[in-house]
Amino acid sequence: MDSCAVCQRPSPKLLLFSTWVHLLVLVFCAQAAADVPIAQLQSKPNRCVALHQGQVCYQEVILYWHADRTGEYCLYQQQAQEPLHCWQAQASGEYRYAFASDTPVQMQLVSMNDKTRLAEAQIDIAWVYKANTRRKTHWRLF
Amino acid sequence: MSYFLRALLVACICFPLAAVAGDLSSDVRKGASGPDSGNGGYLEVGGGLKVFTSPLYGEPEGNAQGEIHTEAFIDISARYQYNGFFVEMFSQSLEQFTAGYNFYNGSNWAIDMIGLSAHEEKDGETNKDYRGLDRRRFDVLLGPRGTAYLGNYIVQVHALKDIVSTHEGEVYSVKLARHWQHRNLNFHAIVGATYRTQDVIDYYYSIDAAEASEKFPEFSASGGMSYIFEIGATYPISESWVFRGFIRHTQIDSALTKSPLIVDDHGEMLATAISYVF
Repeated sequence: MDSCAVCQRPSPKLLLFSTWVHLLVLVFCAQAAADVPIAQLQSKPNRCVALHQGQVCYQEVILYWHADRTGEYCLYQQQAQEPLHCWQAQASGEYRYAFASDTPVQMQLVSMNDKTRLAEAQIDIAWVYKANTRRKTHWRLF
Repeated sequence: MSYFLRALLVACICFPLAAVAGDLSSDVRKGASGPDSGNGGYLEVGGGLKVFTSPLYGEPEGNAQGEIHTEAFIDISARYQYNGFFVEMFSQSLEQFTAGYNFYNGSNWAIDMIGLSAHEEKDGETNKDYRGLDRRRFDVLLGPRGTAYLGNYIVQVHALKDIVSTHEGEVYSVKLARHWQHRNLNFHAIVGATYRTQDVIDYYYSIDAAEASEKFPEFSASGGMSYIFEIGATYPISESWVFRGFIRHTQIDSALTKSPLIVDDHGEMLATAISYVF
């Protein structure tokens, strides 16, 4: 029997790995072709706790962002026309934000070169006492 | 006018429009804006520390005028309701444990029939301060409780009568509470007035000729008012933990200070607690 190793059929695992590598290369190439920076946006903390549902929740949060290249970037609150803050020729930054809302708020990092939304971070709201002012639990005494 | 006619009159005057209400002290801390009408309940358990002065002789044992006491306490806030029947307790409340039935409710007000004990037992066997005095049993009061939620305000009235023949007296009270928010801190204030009929005060604070002594001279009490003023704050530490604190001033009728069983005409309490909300 011929024992040529090169002639053997590739294993399914090798095929899967190869496909992933190709896909990654394709994604990378497409990204590079579009010349869109890759960025991350993070909120710390990302949750505000108020006493009962419906109350406006107040929280000082710090928004951290990082991009893979320097550029002009702006931080927007979702659906707002004006940016909260912009950075020139920067690849990272942070912004101290006084959160005050009774609904979750999404923050967005936008590249000002092409107005592309690069990254998002959501600040959620939690309540100690849910709707109707009192927490309903499901336990039963009888 | 009989007790029940007066109770009905109080309820009708205070609640001419037409919800299952809860304990005022608990509701105002939660920022309640309406009654809780469904089946179910809640439970909060924690620990706290209170510093207080007491106007009552023997409470706590050895109490003297102006003496400051410090005690740790288990902070429990719990309520369970099923088909209108409910039990509730809140260790920071003015009423502490209440059982009742909600028999009429509207969108922002409710009338319940409740039962509670408002006065503790005074017994020389369990408290040496009362040795030489006749035992005074705890009471069980029954009657309507009306609660109205008016925006950030809550009004609650009680018209209660002793039903276990302890003293057969009546207790009427009205309390007004308000809550407001400053950032994530929730403040509250309560003012209240309580009238106890002569039967109640006479039973607990009079000294009759048979039990009078040098230590406890004879004293006869009439009905009287007491007032409370309270301010406090509640803060959500997390989704499951809350911090509570309050300062309460209780003022009693100055005529009562002549009773050997009253050491002052006022008492204060400062309490803080951290509780877990299940």
